Amino acid sequence: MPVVNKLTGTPCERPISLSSDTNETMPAWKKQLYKRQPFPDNYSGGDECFLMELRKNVSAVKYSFGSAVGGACHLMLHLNFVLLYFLLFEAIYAKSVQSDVVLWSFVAASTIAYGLYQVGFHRPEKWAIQEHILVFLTLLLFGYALTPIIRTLTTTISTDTIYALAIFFAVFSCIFHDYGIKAPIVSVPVSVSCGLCSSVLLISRLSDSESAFLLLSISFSLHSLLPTFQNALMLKIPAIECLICVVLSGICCYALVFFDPVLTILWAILVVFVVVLCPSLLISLQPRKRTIHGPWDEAVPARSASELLK
Amino acid sequence: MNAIGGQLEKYSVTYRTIDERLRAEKGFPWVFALVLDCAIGIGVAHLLKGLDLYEIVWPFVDARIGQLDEVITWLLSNPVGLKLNEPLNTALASFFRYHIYLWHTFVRMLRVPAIWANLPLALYAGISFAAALFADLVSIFSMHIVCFYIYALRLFLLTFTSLGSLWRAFRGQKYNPLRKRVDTAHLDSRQLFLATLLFVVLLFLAPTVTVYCFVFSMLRWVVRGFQLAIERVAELQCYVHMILDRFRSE
Repeated sequence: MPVVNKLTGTPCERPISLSSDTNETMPAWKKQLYKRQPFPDNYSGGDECFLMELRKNVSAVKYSFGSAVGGACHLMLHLNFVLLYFLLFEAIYAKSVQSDVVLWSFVAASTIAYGLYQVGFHRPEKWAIQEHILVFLTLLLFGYALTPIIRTLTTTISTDTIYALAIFFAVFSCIFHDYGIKAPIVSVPVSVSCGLCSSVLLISRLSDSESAFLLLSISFSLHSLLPTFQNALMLKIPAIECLICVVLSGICCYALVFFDPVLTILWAILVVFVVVLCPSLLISLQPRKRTIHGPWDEAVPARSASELLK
Repeated sequence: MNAIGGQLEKYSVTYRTIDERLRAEKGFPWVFALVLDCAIGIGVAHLLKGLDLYEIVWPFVDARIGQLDEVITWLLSNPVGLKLNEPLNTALASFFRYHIYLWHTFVRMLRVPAIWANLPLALYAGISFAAALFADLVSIFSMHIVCFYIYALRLFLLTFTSLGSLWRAFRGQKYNPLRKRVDTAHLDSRQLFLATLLFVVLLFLAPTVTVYCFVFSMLRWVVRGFQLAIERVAELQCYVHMILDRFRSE
């Protein structure tokens, strides 16, 4: 298909020059690299035609404020859950909460979530009941068997080191977490393992095996099972997720008051920053996007035949 | 018979010494070595006349066993300021203590005065033969140290190979023995759970295992060094041959 000069409408194969007798001295330039033409090798149609094939912002995605806030809420929800886990550990360690209460609310919450997942987001060929029962049994048997060993692991290490390491591993796990978007840094094994590592370090400080096992199961659900549920929820109904995020942030801030009011303020600042400031920053900077594409781009091989046909 | 011979040759210094002596070419050096051997042997026997071997060896063995027990007690209570994992430490210490008790019972079977009264007679057969016998006796009496070394080393290797494999699983990788390289592994939640838990548990138990391995390796190497020194004496015949050859060639 001949390239057309958008200004004048004439095909670009012929250089437009001011003199009228160009036909005798300079033949038309054709965009055919296999042909020997009297033009230099890097001639590409001259000034008039060179930038005519320029395209701007071809692959730029225009985000709406709602979707940006939705994504930010997804991230914030996970961070809230991690903070809630730490708060739960602190509460159980200080014995300000009965582990029975925690146990039954955890059982209720997981049953509801599992039921919702199976009914609402169920893709029939993906998971089977047997697999779920196997996971449950593995968690029960091996977790309960290894909990007494875990409780004796860190008696010789100072508490400060344990807390610092636990926080470090939790942050590490948040970095590599699967937030439902394909990115090169996402690594599910690293995220799950770091999360479990942080929780193992924490529960090694507890004084009885039952609450230790309870926290271990909560951590396992949080890092292994919850991402699946959360990502499915984000795909289906993002609005509910935003609502849960806001509610949970409120709960976290309220719970943090019992530890240190400064932490409440810090957490509130973080929530506002992530959920409100960052999306608005993105939206305000979006019109400045200026990527140019042209015939000088590197050729990208199509991944499959179906892409070629698109 | 050949298999037994092979095993004996591998473990018994006495067998090796006698075998070598019988197989060497019988010429002047051989006779000279034999005579020198017996001469030194008779001299040493004369020096040690009146020495009751039974009274020397058995208290020594008891003292060594007591010392080993003390080493285990030392391991139980913050050795070199290291804080070892309590339950594992207690379990390993009880295991080794029981092994020492079994060993002590076994070794008491050798507590027959008749044997110990007649052992110095071996000196008359040549000092190399006596040294070889002594080396074998040391070997028998330190068999438990070799056992401990083997247990501790096996435990250590098991811990560290498991740690390496679990560390790869922690990062979502596995070793591909077919291609001899590390590949990505697709692990489901159960496998990840177990891998992480076992990794953390083994990581914290590794220092205890390392300390035990180190202590028993040191003990074993000290004993082995002493045994090697005595084996050099048992090889007196070889040295004599070497010296005579050198004199001949000059």
